[in-house]
Amino acid sequence: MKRRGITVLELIVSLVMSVFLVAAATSAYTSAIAFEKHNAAYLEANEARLNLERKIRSLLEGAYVSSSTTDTMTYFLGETSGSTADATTADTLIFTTLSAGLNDNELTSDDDFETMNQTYGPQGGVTEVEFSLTPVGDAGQDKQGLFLRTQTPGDGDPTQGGFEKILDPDVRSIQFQFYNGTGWDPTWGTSGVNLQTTTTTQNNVQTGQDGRRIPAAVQVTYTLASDPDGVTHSFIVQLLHSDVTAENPVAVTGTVGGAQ
Amino acid sequence: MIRRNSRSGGALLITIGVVASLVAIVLTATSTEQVTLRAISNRTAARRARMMAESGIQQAIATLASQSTSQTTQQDDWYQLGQTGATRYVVGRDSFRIQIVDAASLINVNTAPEAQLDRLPLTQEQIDSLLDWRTGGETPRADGGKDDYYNNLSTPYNAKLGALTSLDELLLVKGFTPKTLYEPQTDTFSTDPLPSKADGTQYTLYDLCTVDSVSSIGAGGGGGTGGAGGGGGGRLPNINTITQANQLTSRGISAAVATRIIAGRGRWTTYNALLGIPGMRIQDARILVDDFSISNAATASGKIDINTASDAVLESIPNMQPDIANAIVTQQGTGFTSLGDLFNVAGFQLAIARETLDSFTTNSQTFIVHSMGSAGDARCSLDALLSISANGAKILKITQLPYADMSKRWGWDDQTTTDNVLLEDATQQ
Repeated sequence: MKRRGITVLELIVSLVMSVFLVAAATSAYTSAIAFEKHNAAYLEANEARLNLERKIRSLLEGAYVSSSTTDTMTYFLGETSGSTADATTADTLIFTTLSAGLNDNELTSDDDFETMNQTYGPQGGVTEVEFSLTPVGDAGQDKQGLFLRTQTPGDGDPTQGGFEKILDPDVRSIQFQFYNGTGWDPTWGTSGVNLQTTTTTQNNVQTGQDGRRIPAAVQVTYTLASDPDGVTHSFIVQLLHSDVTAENPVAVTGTVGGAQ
Repeated sequence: MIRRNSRSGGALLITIGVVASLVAIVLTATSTEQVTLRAISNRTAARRARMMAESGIQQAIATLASQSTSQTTQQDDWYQLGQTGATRYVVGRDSFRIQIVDAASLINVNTAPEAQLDRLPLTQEQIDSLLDWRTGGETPRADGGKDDYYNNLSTPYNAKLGALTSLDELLLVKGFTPKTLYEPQTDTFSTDPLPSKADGTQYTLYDLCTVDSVSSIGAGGGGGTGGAGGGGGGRLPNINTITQANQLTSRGISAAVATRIIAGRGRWTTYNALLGIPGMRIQDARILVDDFSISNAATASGKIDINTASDAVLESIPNMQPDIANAIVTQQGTGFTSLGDLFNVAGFQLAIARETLDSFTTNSQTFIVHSMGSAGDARCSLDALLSISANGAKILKITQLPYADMSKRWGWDDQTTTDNVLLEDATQQ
């Protein structure tokens, strides 16, 4: 007899197999969608954080302090603003840098000098940079986070000037520590210029040539409002052009010692 | 014809359908992950490229550590290092290429006199403005600018009235833009352009200029006609301190010239003045240049190193003749151990010596490192200014360069010819 159709057993087996497969596929699909969603959010949060680190890093890597002991136009100042609970570790970093950089629009522009100044602002040379949670100017209501102030050309006044913007509104605290060749200093200062506005300045300023050196590395530690409590981020920027080494450290004076 | 059962193979179709959707889902998930991974690896590649470029600078520091401050030659290790970017230094998966350039082979825009700026690819406005920018006073030149001008810009600032800190500080000076700094210029004050590069293109300001160049002056033991000063490492006697004619005649200087030198003591602060003494012979000039100094300073800024300068840089020196510049370049292979050796160059007579010797040196204490790091598709190009002393080399400034094609701008070949493997790629083993 010619066999027609499929047996009940075959039908049941194939149905069961299909159900398993569909169930597996659905679960894989939902988890893929969930992963993508989560991933996008994570990336976005991370992206902002990594951009912040990249910006701090690139400006620090070009930090420049001339060796002249009479120069007041270049400096490297890591100080405490006195506005945070920890009044011994720097929460404000002000320095002069050669790495403010030019963007593609500026490089390819056919505009003349005055139009360039109007469109992009002054470019080139030594730029003064400040990272701080406390803006120099009036930021307006509810504006908080990490502020970046840049002034091109640097004018020798580390307390003000230039353009100020919020680099990352998510930053709630920030600390800078400075490697002196043997350990981490909680503050740093170069001779010639001082921040007159701060009351708790604890500069580790040396005299003479030693006072014109920049740290071998800067450790940046910060917390974000969007992170769970207790999460801190930290990264170290090595300043390749610093002459501070273990063999040639900056002598530590006074009471500053820093976390080792 | 037998009619086929239309339902046979139904299970197969269902299975294929399910498998296809499964594959699609897996592919979606993987590609999402790949995008994420690529974003992360791009970021790390950029960091790795920077670290590679920094490694290149470290390599340069190590090479310059033993460089003499009293003599540069084209046989020095630093000159050969990296074969003008043709060697690829491989560090694991990544690599860097380097070239060291003698900063004293370039024109120092902080010290170059106006007559030399006139020869550069600059407009009248740029020349006047640069001179106004780097010198004091509040009265601008005809096409220049001082505070009055800069204070009225959309974003105002003050004129520097001092030396430039970096070459791109020129962008703060009236008349300069990135294009005039980094691209060849045609509309220039000079109607007699400097010689072009080997590839036929014109030099840019970035190619020709620096803001830092330091060389030692008056150090003894650097060769010359010998027997002078305190010997190796000592200082050559300052010609203005010589009081006895026989201190000069004993070295071969004519009595008439010796008398005039002593009579004019204190006035000999330039070779132009010293070699202009009536009765001066080339042999006198050579002894004076090699055995005496005209300054008590140990170093000078802005002198041009005749052992490394290109013909374009040499020809920018006021009153320099192209054939003499070419002859100097030709002799760089053997090198000049002292400025007096210039008198061996065909056509280098007293008149040209008076005009040019004050601009020249045979050594350098400042070097520029071009370093390009590569990691994946990421590139990082750095210029570092290194200064050398008896204690070795150290970095004074680092600048990240704005263009992606810096290797081309540095005149490097697209392809490297040699691999120098510093560290094997562990992932290939």
